[in-house]
Amino acid sequence: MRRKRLTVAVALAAGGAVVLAACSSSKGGGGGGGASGSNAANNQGVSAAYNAAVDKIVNPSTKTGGTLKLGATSDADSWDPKIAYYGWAWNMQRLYLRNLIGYKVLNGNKFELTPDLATDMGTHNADFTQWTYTLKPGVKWENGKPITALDVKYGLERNFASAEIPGGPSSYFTSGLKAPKNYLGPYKSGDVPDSDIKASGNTITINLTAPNADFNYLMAMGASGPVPYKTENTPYKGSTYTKHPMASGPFMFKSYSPGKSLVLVRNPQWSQSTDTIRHPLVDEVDLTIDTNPEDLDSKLQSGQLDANAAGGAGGLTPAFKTKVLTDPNLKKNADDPAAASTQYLPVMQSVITNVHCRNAIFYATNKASILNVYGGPTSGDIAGSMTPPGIPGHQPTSDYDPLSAGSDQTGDLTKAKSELQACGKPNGFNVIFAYATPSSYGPKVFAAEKAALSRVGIQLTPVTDDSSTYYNTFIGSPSNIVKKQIGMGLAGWGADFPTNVGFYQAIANGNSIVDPGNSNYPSLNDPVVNQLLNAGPAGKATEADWQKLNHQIMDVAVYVPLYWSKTLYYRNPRMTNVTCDNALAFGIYDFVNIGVS
Amino acid sequence: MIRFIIRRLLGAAVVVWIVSVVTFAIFQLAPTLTHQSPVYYYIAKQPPPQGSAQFKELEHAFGFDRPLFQQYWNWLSNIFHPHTISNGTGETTTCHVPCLGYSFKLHTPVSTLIWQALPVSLSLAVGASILWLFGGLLVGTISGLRPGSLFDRVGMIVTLTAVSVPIFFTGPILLLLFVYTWGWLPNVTYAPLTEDPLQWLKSMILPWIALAGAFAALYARLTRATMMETMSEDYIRTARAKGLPRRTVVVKHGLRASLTPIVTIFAIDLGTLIGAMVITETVFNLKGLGWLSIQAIRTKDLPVILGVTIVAAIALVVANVIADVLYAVVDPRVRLS
Repeated sequence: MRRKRLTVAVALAAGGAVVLAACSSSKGGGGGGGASGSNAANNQGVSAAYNAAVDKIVNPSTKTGGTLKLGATSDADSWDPKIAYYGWAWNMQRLYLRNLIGYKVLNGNKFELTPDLATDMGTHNADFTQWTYTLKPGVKWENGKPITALDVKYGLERNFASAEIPGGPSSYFTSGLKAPKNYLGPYKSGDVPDSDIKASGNTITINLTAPNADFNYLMAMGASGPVPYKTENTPYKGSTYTKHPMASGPFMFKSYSPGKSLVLVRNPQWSQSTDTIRHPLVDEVDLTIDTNPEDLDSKLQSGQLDANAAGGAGGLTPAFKTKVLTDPNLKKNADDPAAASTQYLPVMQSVITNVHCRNAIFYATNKASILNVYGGPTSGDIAGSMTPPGIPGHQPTSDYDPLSAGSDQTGDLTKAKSELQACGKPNGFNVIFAYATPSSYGPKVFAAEKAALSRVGIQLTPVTDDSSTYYNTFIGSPSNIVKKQIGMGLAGWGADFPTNVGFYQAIANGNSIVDPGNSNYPSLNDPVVNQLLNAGPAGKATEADWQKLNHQIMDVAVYVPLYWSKTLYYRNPRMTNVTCDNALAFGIYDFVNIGVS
Repeated sequence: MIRFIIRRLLGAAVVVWIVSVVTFAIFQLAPTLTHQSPVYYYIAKQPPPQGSAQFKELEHAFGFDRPLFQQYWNWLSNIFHPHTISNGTGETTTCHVPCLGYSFKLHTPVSTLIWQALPVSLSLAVGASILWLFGGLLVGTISGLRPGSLFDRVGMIVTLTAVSVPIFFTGPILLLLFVYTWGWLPNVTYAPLTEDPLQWLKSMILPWIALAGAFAALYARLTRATMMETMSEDYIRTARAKGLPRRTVVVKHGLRASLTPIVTIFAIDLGTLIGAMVITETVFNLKGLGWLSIQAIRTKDLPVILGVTIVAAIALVVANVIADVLYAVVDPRVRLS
């Protein structure tokens, strides 16, 4: 009997210790974050506070030196600017790459473009179908060679090489740039003729297939950026260019271990006098890939890492997020910026062909529980339609919510059931739901949606794919969707640039459908949508047209809008000059201008 | 003794060969079961359409249009001579000996990936094995000498708890206590032993404890049982009566007899160890072979999966040979038979 009591006592003590440890409040990781550092770099500087970096500069300083330590839970989709499509990869590109045009103001009410490698914002003809730029003198690659107009032309041509280097936002270029019919990119088809893109000396003239008043937004994208003509970065070329892209920015690749780490050091060939966008302070940037998201967050809190370069696909892990929001010492190092980005469920019309069946899914979805999966109201605002805030045509959910999940957004079962009647399946039907792994969110969203839809008899079965291939070849292949009979997916989309075309071109225009590498997952090909999107670039659309676009997309019922994203980020207080990059990367910090104190 | 070792090595070679055949066959047959050409898994992107000339060229280059045993022979002989591998769309590489293939996902040869991951896994496996052998033997010996005592009771409970709780639970708990809450150890960030021994040690302690904990109980209980049995033997009583110091009696006579089952169990456990290492490496973010295989499975990188499986199988067979040899060293009756 003595033995038994001892055993029980030991077990209780051990269990108790674990519970106590888990519940104890954390040591404040905030340290000396309150001080505003040395001389303010400009009069927008503020000291650390919650949401301070959203549209101001936190901890201004001119102190140079040190190493910025970043972490991410997976590698970038690519470091090759043609292929990279992740927002955080675009943000990282500001460290080592420059394009003709760049963003000077990345947040606030209006983003601002400014010339980067170009001398000015380009000149165009009357109907916006031809644009000419001149490169600044003295801009060089990391190997000392000058950046020429031919390099810009070659970079644009690479967008057509979808066999060798698939992926990326190339559809903007393959459909927008004039090129010979069946042009397959520089590796197979050589160069495009001068009548399409002419590069002579430092001047490049680009002809477009259709008017595009917003062309400078495309020239601010990494995929438009120059790549050394034909040599690229021998031996890294084509699909291996990602291992060491040639740098034009203030930093360059020192060592890269795919899936593990990336080290960037200063590029001596970059000169500050040619660059108004970047004012780098650190000597080195280290990116470590830590596949365990909780471990990464603990390194953030302890100061071993300065920031999560990838924003964590939803920000901080739920445990750390709770800590940050409830501890004032941590909260002042956090920001919750909004982004022109929507999280949604594509409903594949090639598999669920009847629009009423699709409507039923809209009505029965429990958007509130799904937002909770992502962390609740700090993660976003529930969306009634696809156009997010910041893009013209946006309407708050209280004003426009056509296939509404009810006043409390938990699902309108009555309407769902009547739609099921209308599509001839009153008892529901089976749907295969695809999501990417590893993911903290995929399985939970699936579980929430499964529970929500089963209330009206729609039964979900899951199918998964790795996140490095899910978007590109799994739901990004219309033939794969039909083959595997995938009915629904889970995705988020941020505006590639802050216009309707920037948000919708790749996901809603019929002319952007490709296989694989498709971002228009449900293969939406509606004539009204196409016509509105194609008219925009001529500068001929009005706010009313953009509203009409938003409404038409809802009528076709292929995208269940879940919420408009907000993401909670955490910054290490030792970082200086911190501000959010909303233009490229959903509010992740603009690392190129950050220093360490 | 030499003949014994040679016999064992020959046996091991046969086993390795059989493992390579079976593994290869599984990985070549599995894609066809999912109606996807193996080409897709080797070039890491959608191949050209199935009927086209480029597709046939690719299939031919990889040898998928030949019968299975010929494919196996090609793969086996290719390991020993350099050749080029291409994904059919401009990326071509030369594979150096030993050539285990090329990962077009990571743009790195498989043998390089394995070579980079090996020190991490070895550090983990060797360190943990030493820990659980020593720990298990120590606890078991003391418990066996004093059955029924407080030490015995507590020791058995602790080791039993450790082996019952899965590593994906003990690992995070250890991190929670020692790193996040008490801060006694830094976050696990592997540094090679040759570069930064202190960091290496500090990073490996928790993974060693988590992994060792999963195995130690068996050794403790086994040692305890054999100890108790051996210590009651007549020859032990004789040794003590002769006046031998307690330590000599325990170690030289008692423990020595307990070692043979330990070695046997250890050889078997090496197989389980590989599985446990995959979990441990993932939990602690150690980029060893287990982590590599998980990444490869997630991204469907077939050459890497095949390479890691073969290497792990060979390592296991070699370790078993070593265990057999040790068995013969410890128990002379084995080598003389």
